[in-house]
Amino acid sequence: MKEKIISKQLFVLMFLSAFSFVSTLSSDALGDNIWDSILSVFIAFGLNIALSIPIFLLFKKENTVPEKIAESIYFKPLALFYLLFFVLSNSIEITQLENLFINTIFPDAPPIILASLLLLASVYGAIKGVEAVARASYFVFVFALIGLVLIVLGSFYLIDIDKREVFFYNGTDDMLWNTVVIFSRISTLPQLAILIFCVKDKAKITGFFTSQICVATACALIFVILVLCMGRFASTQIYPIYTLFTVAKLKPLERLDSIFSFVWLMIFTLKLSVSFVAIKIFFDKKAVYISAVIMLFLSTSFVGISVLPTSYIQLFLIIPSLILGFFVPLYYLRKGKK
Amino acid sequence: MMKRVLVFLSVLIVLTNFSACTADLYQHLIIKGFGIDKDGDQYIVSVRYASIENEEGEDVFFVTGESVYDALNKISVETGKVPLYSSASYIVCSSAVASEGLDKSLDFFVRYFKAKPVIRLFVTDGTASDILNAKKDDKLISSDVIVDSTDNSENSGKSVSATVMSFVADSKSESKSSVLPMISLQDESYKCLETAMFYDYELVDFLSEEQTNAYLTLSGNLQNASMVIEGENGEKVTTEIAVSSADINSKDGENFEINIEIKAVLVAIPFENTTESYEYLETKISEEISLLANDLLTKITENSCDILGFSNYLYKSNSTLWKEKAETFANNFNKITTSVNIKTSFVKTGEEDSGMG
Repeated sequence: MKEKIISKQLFVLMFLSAFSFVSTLSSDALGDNIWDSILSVFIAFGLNIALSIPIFLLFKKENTVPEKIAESIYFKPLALFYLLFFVLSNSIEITQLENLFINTIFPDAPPIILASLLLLASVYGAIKGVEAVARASYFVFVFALIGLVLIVLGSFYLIDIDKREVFFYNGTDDMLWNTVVIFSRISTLPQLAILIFCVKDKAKITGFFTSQICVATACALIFVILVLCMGRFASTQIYPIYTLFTVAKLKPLERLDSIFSFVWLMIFTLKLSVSFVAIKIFFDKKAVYISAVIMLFLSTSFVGISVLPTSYIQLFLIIPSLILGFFVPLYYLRKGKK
Repeated sequence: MMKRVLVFLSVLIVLTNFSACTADLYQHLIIKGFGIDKDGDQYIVSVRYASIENEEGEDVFFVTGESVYDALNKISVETGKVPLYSSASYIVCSSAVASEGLDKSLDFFVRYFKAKPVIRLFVTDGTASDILNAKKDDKLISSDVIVDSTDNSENSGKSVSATVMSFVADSKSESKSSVLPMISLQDESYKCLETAMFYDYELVDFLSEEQTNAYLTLSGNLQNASMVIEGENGEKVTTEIAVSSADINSKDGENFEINIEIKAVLVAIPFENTTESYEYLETKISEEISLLANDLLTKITENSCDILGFSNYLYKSNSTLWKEKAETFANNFNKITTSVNIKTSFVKTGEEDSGMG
C-alpha cells in the first residue's frame, strides 16, 4: 500500500472508533446501575490498551499483522476471517444506529436508505484511501469535541448532585456485566492490528494509551452527567444518552440532539471507512464493494429484531475480536522470537 | 460524471426521506399544554394549542380515550392537523388522576420519543380542564402564565417545581416519594402556592402554603423568600431569607437530625427602629422556621411519605444499614424521630444604619 498516515492520525481514528459506541448504547444492554458503568468504562478501555501490547511490540520489530499474514500459507483463510469479522461487526453496528434513528429522530425513514447513505459515504472514503480517511478524522474529531462540550454545557442546568448513586450497591455483577458490554463495543483491536501497517512513523503504545484514556474520560463524563441530570429516569429510556442530548439546552440553542445526530453520523461513517480500508489492505476494491452490499443486506435484516439481541451478538463477537486483535499478533510476535 | 450523479441522488434521498418537516407548519398543531382528567374509565385530555384564528393566540379543545395516548391519537381526527408534542411545556393532572397513580397516565410522556421529558408537571385539586379553560376578561389566560406562575413562585421561595423527568426520577429513588406544585385559580389568575405529595406515583396529601415553605427550607431549596417577624419592641421587621445548607444526619436510621443554615438580609424596618439586635432577630427567625419545620415533619411522618429523602440519605451514606432497613423503612416511617437545628445569620454589610430611617 502506497498511502501512509502518521501515528497521530491512527490514534485519532481509534479515538473516534471507540467513542462511537456512546450514541447507540441502550439501557437494556447495560445493567440496572448505570453509575457502575463509570468504572466499567475505565476497566474496558484499560483492557483494550493491555490487549493491544502485542500489536505494538510487533510493530516495534518493524512487522505488522498484514505483512506477516501475506507471507503465511494461511493468508486466504486468515484474510477471509478478518473480512467476515468486519462485515458482521459493522452490520451489527449499522443496525444499532438504524434502531436508534428509527426509534428517535426519523421513525418514518426507511432503514435501508440510512444504511445505504452511510455505506456509500464510508466506501467512498475508503476507496479514496487511508490518507483521505485520516485527514477527515481530524475534522470529525474537532466536531466531536465541540459536540461533547455543547452537551456538557447544555446539561448543566439539570445537574443535581443528589441524584448520584452508590458504587457496587448490588455487588460487582452490574459493573462486570457493563465492562463486558462496553468492551464488546469499544474494542477495535482487529482494525488497529491491520491499520498500523499504514503508519509511516513510530507508533508507540503511549499514543494509543493517551487516545484510549481520553475516550474513557469523555465516556465516563457523559455517564456521570447522565446520572446527575436524569437520575433513575435514565433507566426508563431506550437510549438514555440520546434523551440527555434532547433535553440539553444552551440558550438560545435547544434540541441539541440534531448536533448529536450530525456528529455521530460522521463518526460512524469514519469508523466504517476504517474497516473498509482494512479490507482493502487484504483484498481489492471489489471486496470492499461486495462487503458493503452484504453489510447493507445484513444490517437491514437485523433491524426490528429489537435492541437486545444485537447486543448479545456483539458480545459473542468479542471472541473473534480477541483472536484477530490479540492472539494473531501475539502468535506472530512469539514466532518472531523463535 | 458518475460522481456527480451519485452525489445528486444522495442529496435527493436525504431531502425526501430525512426531513423532519414532512408536513408544512400550518399542517401542524403546535401544542402548548395538556390537562388530564378522568371520567370513569375514560381519560379526558384537554389540549391547549397555538391558534392564529383566536385573538388570544391560543385555543383549547378536549379529546377522550381509554388511555392518554388513545385520546391524543384523536387529535388529528378532531383537527385535521399533525400534533407537535415537543412544543408542549406543561401537563396539569387532576387530583382524581393523581390519586390513582400518575404512572398510569404519564407513561406516554416518558416513553414516547416525540414527547419532551422536561415538560412541567402540575396537579390541581379541581379539574385540569378548568385550569386550561381559565379566562381573564373573557379571554383565555396565556399558557406562558402557567409556567411563569411556578417560576415566579419558585424564585420567591413559595413553590416547588417539577418536570416529568424529575418526578419519575424521584419516584424511582429509594424514597419513592416526590412532590408536584399544586396549581389553582384565584381571582382570575394562577397560583402555585401549595404542594402535592406523592408516594409510588400516587397522590397522598397536600401541603399548605406554610408547609410548602418549610419543605423548601428543609430540602435546601428556599431562595429569596420574604419573612416578616416581630422585632424586640413589637415592630414588624421584613427580612429576605435563603437556605445556604441543609444536611440530614442519622447514625441508626431511626433518629434523624436536620441541620439548616439560613442566610438572612434585613430588608425593611420601621423608621424609628434603626438599631435592631441581630442576635434577637436571628433567634426569632430560627424559632419561627423551627415551628413550621416540625409541623411539616409531623405531616410527612403521619402520611409515611418520605419527601425529604431520609431513605435516600441512608442509601448514600450508609448503604449497609440501608440494605437492612430498605424493606421495612416505608412501613416504619411513621415511627422515625426527627429533630431540626436551625442556625440563622444575617448578611451584614456594615451599612445597616442607612435607609430611610
